[in-house]
Amino acid sequence: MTTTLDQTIEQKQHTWLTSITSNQTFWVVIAVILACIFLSFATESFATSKNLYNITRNVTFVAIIALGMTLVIITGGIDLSVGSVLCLCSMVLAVTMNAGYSLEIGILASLGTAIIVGLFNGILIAYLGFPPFVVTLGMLSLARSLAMVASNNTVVFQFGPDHDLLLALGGGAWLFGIANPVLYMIALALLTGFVLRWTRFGRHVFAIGGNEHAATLTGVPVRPIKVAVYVISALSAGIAGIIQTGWLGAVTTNIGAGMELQVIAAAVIGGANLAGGVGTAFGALVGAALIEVIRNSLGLLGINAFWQGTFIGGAIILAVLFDRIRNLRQSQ
Amino acid sequence: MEGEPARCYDRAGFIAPRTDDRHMSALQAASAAPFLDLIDIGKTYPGVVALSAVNLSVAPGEVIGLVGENGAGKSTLMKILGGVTAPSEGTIRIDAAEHAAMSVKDATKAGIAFVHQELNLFDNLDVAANVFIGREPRFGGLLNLIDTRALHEKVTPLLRRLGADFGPATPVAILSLAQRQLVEIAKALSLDARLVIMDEPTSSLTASETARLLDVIADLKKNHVSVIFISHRLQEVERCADRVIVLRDGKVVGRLDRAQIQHDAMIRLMIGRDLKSLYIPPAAPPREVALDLAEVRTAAFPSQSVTLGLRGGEILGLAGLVGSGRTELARAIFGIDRRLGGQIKLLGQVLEIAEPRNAIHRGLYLIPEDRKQSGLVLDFSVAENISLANLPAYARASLVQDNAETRNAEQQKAKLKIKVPSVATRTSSLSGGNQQKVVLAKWLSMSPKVIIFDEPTRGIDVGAKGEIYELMRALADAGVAILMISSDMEEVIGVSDRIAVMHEGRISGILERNEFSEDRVLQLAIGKSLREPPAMKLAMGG
Repeated sequence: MTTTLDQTIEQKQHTWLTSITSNQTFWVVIAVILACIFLSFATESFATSKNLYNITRNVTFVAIIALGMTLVIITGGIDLSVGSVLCLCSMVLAVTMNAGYSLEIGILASLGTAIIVGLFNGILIAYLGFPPFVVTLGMLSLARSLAMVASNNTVVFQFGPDHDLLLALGGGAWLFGIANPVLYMIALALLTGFVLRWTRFGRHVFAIGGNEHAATLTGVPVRPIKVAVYVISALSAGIAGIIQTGWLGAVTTNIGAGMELQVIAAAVIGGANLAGGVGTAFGALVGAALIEVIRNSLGLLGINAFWQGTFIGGAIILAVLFDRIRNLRQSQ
Repeated sequence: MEGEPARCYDRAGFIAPRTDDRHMSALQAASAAPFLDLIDIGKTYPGVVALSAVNLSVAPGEVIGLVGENGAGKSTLMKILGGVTAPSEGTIRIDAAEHAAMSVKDATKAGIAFVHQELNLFDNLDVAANVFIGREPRFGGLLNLIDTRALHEKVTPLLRRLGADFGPATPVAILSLAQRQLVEIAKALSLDARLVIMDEPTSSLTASETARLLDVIADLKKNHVSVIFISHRLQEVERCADRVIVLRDGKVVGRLDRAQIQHDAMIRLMIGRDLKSLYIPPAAPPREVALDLAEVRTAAFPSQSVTLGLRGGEILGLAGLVGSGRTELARAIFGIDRRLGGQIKLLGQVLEIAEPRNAIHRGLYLIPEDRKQSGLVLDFSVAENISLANLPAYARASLVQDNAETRNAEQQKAKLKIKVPSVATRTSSLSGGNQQKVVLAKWLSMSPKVIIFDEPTRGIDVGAKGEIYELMRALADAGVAILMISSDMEEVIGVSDRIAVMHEGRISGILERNEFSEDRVLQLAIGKSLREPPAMKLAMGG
């Protein structure tokens, strides 16, 4: 027994360096930094403040939703409806304000819609045992259709009395010239990171993803927490929708189409494991950043935009490849 | 005893030998040269010697009983035979060829087939498709479609040979466990198996289904197919085995010829030490009833009910065969499954339990059979696992306080002697015994009134077992009522203050400590009432 114990202790005494280098998120950060350095030298337009402003702002919408998605993925679930929910929430905001209501009412209506959608997803999944894939696939179709119904499939670009306030909310730069969406993203990321690391709720989320059965037998309120996670995911889509509306100044019924895949890609590139139990808020941001840097750089380097999917797909597979190699090495 | 196998042979009259060159009598077959030899096989896992220097040879038409306690190394040996696991040392000789290790494909090619305890069938397909999965007869040509008629023509004689009462087109989903077993055996026969390994094949069968299976084994034997029969049911081993190999702690501790195969001899070899040496007497007489079950019914046996009183300060062993309804009873008490009826009282108060949280809230805890699947979040650290059941105790304003969590984990680590470098270590890297202690620590940090242990020491090495028994006794002495479900006879007899035995969903008897004997427990477990008057009286009294 003593030798086994010593061996175990020895194995556990990873140096600081090995534990860092075996981390998928670390390598994604390195990839982002290297790409940025390369682009600064290779192109003249990358390291301009205008381009960096664009990149950071573009990252935010995917990143904010990826934060909520990360929670869902940690519990072992998936939420395919976020793109459509973003559209629906934007449209509810737009239609409400267009009808002459204030910004506050519009935001409340929009977030209320997100909560209802999240509750619907979550209750079906947690209490009725639906597979998350199926429920949220249904919601993907349902939410976008409702957005079309709400707006009669028109573009809304008049937001009533608080029109300018909404545009400033999403399009302004209130602090040190940093785009407002970036500030929201940072605040939400800090909040998510804090919740995951320090709260009971966060601990329970990880426990459910790590071993749902054991969590139930240990008295973790598994079902309420699963519902909460889908509500948070829908809320993050709603928040992103509100900010995006303010930034774009218009809402169409095809915004956010296909966005769910970018969001899932960001979370997975950032280290979230679709099998559950693993994921971080920082990873979600970094994953979203890598996708945006790839997109931006292809444009700047003059590479045909059709290649974009190839590079992003490659990044997903490469990021997870690191993780697989580490797992294979451990199991041998 | 001698008459039983003879009867088996008679029944097999209709069976045609597989090939002409093997047209020998069963007796000749048993003495033929072995086609499979395991030579000095050893298997070491990190920190555990699962097998050492095991020798085993199998001759055509031989039925070998393989017995041993849980954790004796039977399943490791079978995994090696099936090519699932490579041995650390030793050689496998098949016919003349020697292998250091086999792949699953090698094993199949050598004619080794398994009938697993958990049957590996595709529920959504029919019988014929299951038997020939991956080897379906085809029409050939461009599309090369499956020839269903030929498939059925191949499967029908196999089923008839096994005396099956279902056809090739029957969906597997509607078959009983015994019928599914026949499908597995048909699959083995269709592969021209020379050796069929059956792992606890009778554990879920009724008496008549068991008799039918023993007939099938005799048929196989007559056709020169060898069988390795792994079972805890020693009577059946006695009935069908030509010889018996006894494993204990990874070593072969006994080889019994046909004439030597006796129940007591096997038990002695399996256990290898005095049964009662484990017992730690309680410090005080038991207190009043803590957990009172009144006519509790579970979905597993809807027509039976359990009435049982568990006293504070006692360890009540719950014995019975696999499938007797013990785990289902525990699950119903703990609120995992809905119970069909009856009342559960905890310290005189009626318990309304809809889910495990309710039970936990009242001080009724379950330590599940399967630590990895149900007991622990393996990716969590020791400290995180311990605090998970009771996070509010370590949290202020919903924020988990790492200090409080670590402090408690350190206390539990010292108290339970959990051997781990730090409480921040992930539980996935711990040994079985230490994992079990972490599960225990989780509940001991709260205030237990009743703890149900389901197979508390399964897969745990002997040293850690003793420590867990000491902890159970210390808990009981502190007034906690302990219900210990165990299939390990040594454990049930060695640790319990009383034993309740279940058979097919009901309590078939209760034994006090002075009447403990393996024989009595087994009698009750197979549903017979005890012949001895004093035991009978007490069984009724419980």
